[in-house]
Amino acid sequence: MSDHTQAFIQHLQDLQQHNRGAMAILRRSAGFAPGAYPPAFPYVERFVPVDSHAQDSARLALYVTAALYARHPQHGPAQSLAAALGKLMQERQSGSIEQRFVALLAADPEDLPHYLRQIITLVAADGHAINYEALLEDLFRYLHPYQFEARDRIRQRWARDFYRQPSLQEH
Amino acid sequence: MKSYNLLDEPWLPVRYTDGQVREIGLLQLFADAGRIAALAETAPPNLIALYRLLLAITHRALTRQSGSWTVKEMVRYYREGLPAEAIHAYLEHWRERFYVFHPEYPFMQVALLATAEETRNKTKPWTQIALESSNGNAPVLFDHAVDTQPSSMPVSRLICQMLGFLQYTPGGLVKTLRDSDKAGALANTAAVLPLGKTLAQTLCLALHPAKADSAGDLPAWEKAQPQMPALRGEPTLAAGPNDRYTRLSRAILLLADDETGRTVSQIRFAAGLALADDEHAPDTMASYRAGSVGMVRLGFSEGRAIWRDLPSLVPDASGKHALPAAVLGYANVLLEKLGDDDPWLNVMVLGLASDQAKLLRWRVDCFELPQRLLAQPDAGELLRCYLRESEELYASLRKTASIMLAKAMPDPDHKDTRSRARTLFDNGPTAAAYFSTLERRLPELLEILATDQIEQADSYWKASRLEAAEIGWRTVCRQLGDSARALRARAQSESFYLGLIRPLRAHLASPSEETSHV
Repeated sequence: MSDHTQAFIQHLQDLQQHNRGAMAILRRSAGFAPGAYPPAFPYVERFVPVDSHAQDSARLALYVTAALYARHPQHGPAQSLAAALGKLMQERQSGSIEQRFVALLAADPEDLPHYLRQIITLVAADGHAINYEALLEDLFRYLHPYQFEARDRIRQRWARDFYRQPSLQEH
Repeated sequence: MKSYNLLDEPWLPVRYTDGQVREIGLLQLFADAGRIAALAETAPPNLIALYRLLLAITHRALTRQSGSWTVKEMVRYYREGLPAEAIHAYLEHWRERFYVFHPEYPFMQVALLATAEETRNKTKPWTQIALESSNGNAPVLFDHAVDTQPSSMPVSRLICQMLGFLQYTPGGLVKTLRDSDKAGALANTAAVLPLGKTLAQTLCLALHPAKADSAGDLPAWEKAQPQMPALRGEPTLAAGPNDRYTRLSRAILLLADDETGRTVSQIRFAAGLALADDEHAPDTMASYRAGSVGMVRLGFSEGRAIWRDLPSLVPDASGKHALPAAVLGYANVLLEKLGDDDPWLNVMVLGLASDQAKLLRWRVDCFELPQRLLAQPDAGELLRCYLRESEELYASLRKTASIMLAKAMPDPDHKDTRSRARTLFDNGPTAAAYFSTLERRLPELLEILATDQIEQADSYWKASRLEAAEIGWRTVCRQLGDSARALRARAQSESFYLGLIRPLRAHLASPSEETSHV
């Protein structure tokens, strides 16, 4: 993880402990396109790289992550979002979770925040901690409009994380 | 009219050791055999048929000269060249029989067709006896010959094609003299021929030994012309290699276009002297491998390069897995006597594959085999074992990958989906990717086996299989695509694949052998 990523997640964790109003604003920002809700600017914009434009993937990724974190503020380095969701599917024996995940994998970058928000709600309900640093780094590349190969690699990794638990049990 | 004598006319394409390619007659060919690198015919069936013709001539000439010969004499011929005088004397003795247009003894043809009631008024275009030409209702892609407008063909070329045709004609309908006829001696066979540095050496290596009981084994030109009862009769067993090499599996009579006898456009054609199969006396150039029911003759099949059947060419002590071509045994005997001059033997595998009467593909493949593999069954066993391992790994890979492909389709558990996925896999690029990787590494494996470094061979081949599996897996994953379903299928199947290659990886992890993996 880069220092920048760690610093941002640390910043979100600080906000969660000391600034409940900020968390409410970030939660609310999820209802808008990433980076389009002005009240959230004070908490995120200072981490946006200076040379990035409004629709830069680096900027969007920060806003998306902040909104997700605000919804489910439990950071833990042990488990990625996809792995947490895989575990959830196993615990609940629910086919719909897999369908949601498959929809997530098939999502275009612009639709991704929408699917992520739904999924984070599911994970939050069962209280699994998520590695937000890894998620943020993945989003930097996933939301980039032209990095197709990097996007594929991320999707493959997510798929592996998601299915690893069930498939290990099957064999 | 007697014309076009094959002893003098230039018709055999050869390549001299200085690179020059020329067409020459039989007399000059044997005079120059030590300076000729190889025959330069390009169509595989014709090429092997020409070699067989030369072998029959050499065998008969040496028999005529001395009755029999020993390996020691053969070694001398190999080193010093063939006895050209003896062969010339033999050819001169039979000079009359080497005329293409001879009223009574046309070379490798049946004179009777000119007078027989069934054939005297019937002709066919020359394309009938050219395997690569379209004729009758058997069209060939890229050939636009039309039966009603036959072109004329130089005799020199047509003779090569006729010889190839006689060896490789598929069995089937003939409708003249007999309804159908047996296939030629090499039909559907990948024939094996050991190659020397010169034509003379090649002939020494591949020459079938003299046997006391081979007096009845005569080439076609030494026999009487076939008569009607023989043409209509039952198939007969080959009397020996000379008979097989020159069997008139179809009756053909070339008709010269004019008095000069340089070109042919029409021929007469009928059933020939059918060859009966004798499993106790297989063709000297055919190899056999174990099939699901008994031994299977080595041929060319689609999508399968011949090196994968390489173990069929090395001796098998148990006799269960392979029956290598006898001709490799002759070469081995000679090479052993020669000593360690050249521990490598060039082997050419060539032929034509057909399905019923439809010709499918022809191929020429060349290998360099360590002589040790031919001489020592245990080295051959090792090679057989290695190649079997790579086939098994491929079979497992195919199974895992086709399940993965099925998972990416709707209704993955249905058996039709599974079979569709297998077809998809078989038609995809994975087999080519996997086996071509191994093929590139084969020469080095042979080299390691030749020097008897068994442990090194083991680790080398494991590393090779791992590389091939990795490339194969990457290929099938690309084929799978990157849809969400595909990603899911891949994530689910990957653990199986990792299980497949785990033994190969574990082996590489040990530091002493890490260097062998590139």
